[in-house]
Amino acid sequence: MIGIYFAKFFKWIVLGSFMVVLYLFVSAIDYVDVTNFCYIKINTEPLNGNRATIIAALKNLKKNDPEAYKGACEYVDRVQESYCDLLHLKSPKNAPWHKADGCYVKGSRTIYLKPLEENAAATIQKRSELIRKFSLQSKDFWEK
Amino acid sequence: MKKIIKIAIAFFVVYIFLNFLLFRYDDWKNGCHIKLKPSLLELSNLKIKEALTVLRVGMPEEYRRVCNNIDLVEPDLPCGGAGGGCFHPNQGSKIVISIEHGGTVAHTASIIAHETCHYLQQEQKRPFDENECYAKGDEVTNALIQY
Repeated sequence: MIGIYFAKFFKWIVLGSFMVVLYLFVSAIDYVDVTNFCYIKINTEPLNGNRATIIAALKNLKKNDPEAYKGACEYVDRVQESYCDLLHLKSPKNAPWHKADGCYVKGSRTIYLKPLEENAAATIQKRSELIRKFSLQSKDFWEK
Repeated sequence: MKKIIKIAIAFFVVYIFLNFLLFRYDDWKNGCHIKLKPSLLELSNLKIKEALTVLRVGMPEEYRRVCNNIDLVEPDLPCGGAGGGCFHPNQGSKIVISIEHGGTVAHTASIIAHETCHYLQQEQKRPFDENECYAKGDEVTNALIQY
């Protein structure tokens, strides 16, 4: 009897297991929040970056500022660790972006954060604030 | 024979798909069509398409200047050093750019604007002036970047 039920639901068990494995795989690489239909791709610097602090920063934003988090889910496709000061190799060293902790490029849905290896709570908080700020800029741009 | 025809059709469909996905930038609404050359070292032509899209949305005037003048973008890693670009005179409306620079999409957009500036200098029979083109690149980054 149990065998018949097992055979009947076998394909659903396989499908369910596949979905769980897929979820675990994707959420280890990118940010996934199924309950809020939120998916944000995360690209980190392989040598001196930190994916975990970006994911923690997004969770922090969700907890502390749900409205801004909603905006991030809607208007940000990707959070990428990159130096904004690579923008133009010949630009003057006193250009404002040289010391920027992050930036947003108009017309994109990508937030750039300066690569940081450290795992401190202060880093998560700082990254959360930056994501909040730049996702608002993205929202402003696309709602214009 | 039927099998060969099927394989040929499959190849053709894949070729057309890849061509439009990776080797062409087409903006039908604004009449902008630019070919993107494949490269062994610069693997993602999608980054060039992203930069052109950012220009279109964030800096329409510069976008029109690129669309009206450039027919071919060739990615090439060592050109101008990683994160630079090249313009070779008398090779038509082609610019060469390096996209694997690890910077932002605004950087790629500024390289495109810089090399387009050199193309226009040639077309207007003016001497090549790096300062003018660096200023153009900076203008693009200043307009696109928010920090």
